[in-house]
Amino acid sequence: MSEPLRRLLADGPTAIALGVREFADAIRAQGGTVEEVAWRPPETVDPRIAKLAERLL
Amino acid sequence: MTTASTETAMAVRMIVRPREYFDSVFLMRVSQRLERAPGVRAAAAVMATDANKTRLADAGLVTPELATARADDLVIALRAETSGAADSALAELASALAAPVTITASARTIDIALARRPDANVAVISVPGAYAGAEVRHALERGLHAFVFSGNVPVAEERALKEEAHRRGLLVMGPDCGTAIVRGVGLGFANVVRRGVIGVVGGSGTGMQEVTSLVHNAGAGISHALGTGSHDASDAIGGISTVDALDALAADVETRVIVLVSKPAGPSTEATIDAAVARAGKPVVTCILGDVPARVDRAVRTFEEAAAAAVTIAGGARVPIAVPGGLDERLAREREALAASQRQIRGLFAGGSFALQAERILAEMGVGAGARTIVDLGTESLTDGRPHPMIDPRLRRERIIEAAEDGRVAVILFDVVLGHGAAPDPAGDLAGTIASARTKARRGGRNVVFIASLTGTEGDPQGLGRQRASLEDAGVIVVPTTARAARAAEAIAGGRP
Repeated sequence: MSEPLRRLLADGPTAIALGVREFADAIRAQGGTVEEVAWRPPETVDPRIAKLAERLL
Repeated sequence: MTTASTETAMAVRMIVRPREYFDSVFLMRVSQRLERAPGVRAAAAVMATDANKTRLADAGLVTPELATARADDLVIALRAETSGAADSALAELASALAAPVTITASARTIDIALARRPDANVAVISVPGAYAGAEVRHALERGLHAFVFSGNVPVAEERALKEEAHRRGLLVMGPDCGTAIVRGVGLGFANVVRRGVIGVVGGSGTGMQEVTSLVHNAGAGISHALGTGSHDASDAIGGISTVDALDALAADVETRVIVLVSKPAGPSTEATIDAAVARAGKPVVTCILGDVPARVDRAVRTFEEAAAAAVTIAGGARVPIAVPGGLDERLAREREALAASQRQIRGLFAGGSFALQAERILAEMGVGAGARTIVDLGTESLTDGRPHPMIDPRLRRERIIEAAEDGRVAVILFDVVLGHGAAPDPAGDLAGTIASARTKARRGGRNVVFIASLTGTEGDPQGLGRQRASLEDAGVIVVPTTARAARAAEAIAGGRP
């Protein structure tokens, strides 16, 4: 067993949660530790702006 | 913001809010709130993915604005009896959408969250599938294991992520992973079970939930349950997470017995997984779904048998599974009461593993393909852009009504799965629909029988006893395992001339 897996099983999860809020709430309800990310989809870059930025760089 | 109105017999309104994102469970609640508004016949709040655009079109909730909406745009659509009713409902919208500001999270990325919680060791990812792969990779690069509830991640990407995780000594549980329990803490959908010496590995989320719940209800306990994702045992993925999880539980001193719950492995992956089972050095009970021969020792065919075998090997005194009294007589009465046209079993499952198991059991009992229709409502194609049916009852409600209106259907077979992450009152969510379905069937001179498998423990937030009572009050025959539910359905509808 790898060291990171051994530590996960020995220490239990300390989570970073992205997405459905209920899953983070559920970890808290069980006494677990979780840091929630207010996730959003990445901004879509307009291809024209991307091309311009490419030229400038 | 764009507002449009199309007057036909009813008023249809649509609002498109560009680049405004909410998760699918929150939007489900917004939809339900709009649907409860006076005069509203149908409502939907969704991200404008292609799948959701199709669903809006199917529901007749379309205005011209929908065509140009993008996947990262929020769409709210409703149909109401009058323009006034539509406008009033939309006026409610501002407060419905204001709720997320109460979210305390202000970290916008994994890196910011990790700076606050440097001891974090796992990322729990339930973002839309199109974005999940990038977030998993980011998590792995930061040394985090990943629990990936998100589905619809391309298999090539899944394979690359799992190879990367393996190189780093990390575990990717998923994508399309329903459950895990690590040292007593559930991730995703998980039941409240005591700790013990039985470890579980598998790509079958609801199957793992049935096993862990039955182990608990039998008086034993779970060391860890490591989900691997529904595709892991395929040749496209090669069982990478299954093997890593088996090796981990084999080395874990607290685990004395392992249960492997899996869909059938691909031909070239089978040997890899069998080798991991063989080298475990401790008993491994294998429960492989589908029509496959038992390849290894201690192979069983159902989740119920898997739990029983593991508890026996673990050496605990086993509490027998509680079966409702007078079940055989009830089944016989229901069979007698069927109309001549009623020969079919309709399975409407939230759990894909349950659907697979029911399908196999019914086939083995001689229920022909024409006499059974088993649907996995949680499959990735049906959950793209909307919540899983263990959270969102709407799709199953629609299918229950459709089934009750079909004069051929004798039995509607379904699952109710409790635990953290699942709906707060899954039985209550369906009770009203079951009553309506019965009424519709009776108008057609038929009695449709409802049979539910109920998975969970008394410690679950919903309470096993409360949920059982709620289902029984709705006239449902409630049994404690999927296998028994399938057999009960066959007892009523099987072999009818």
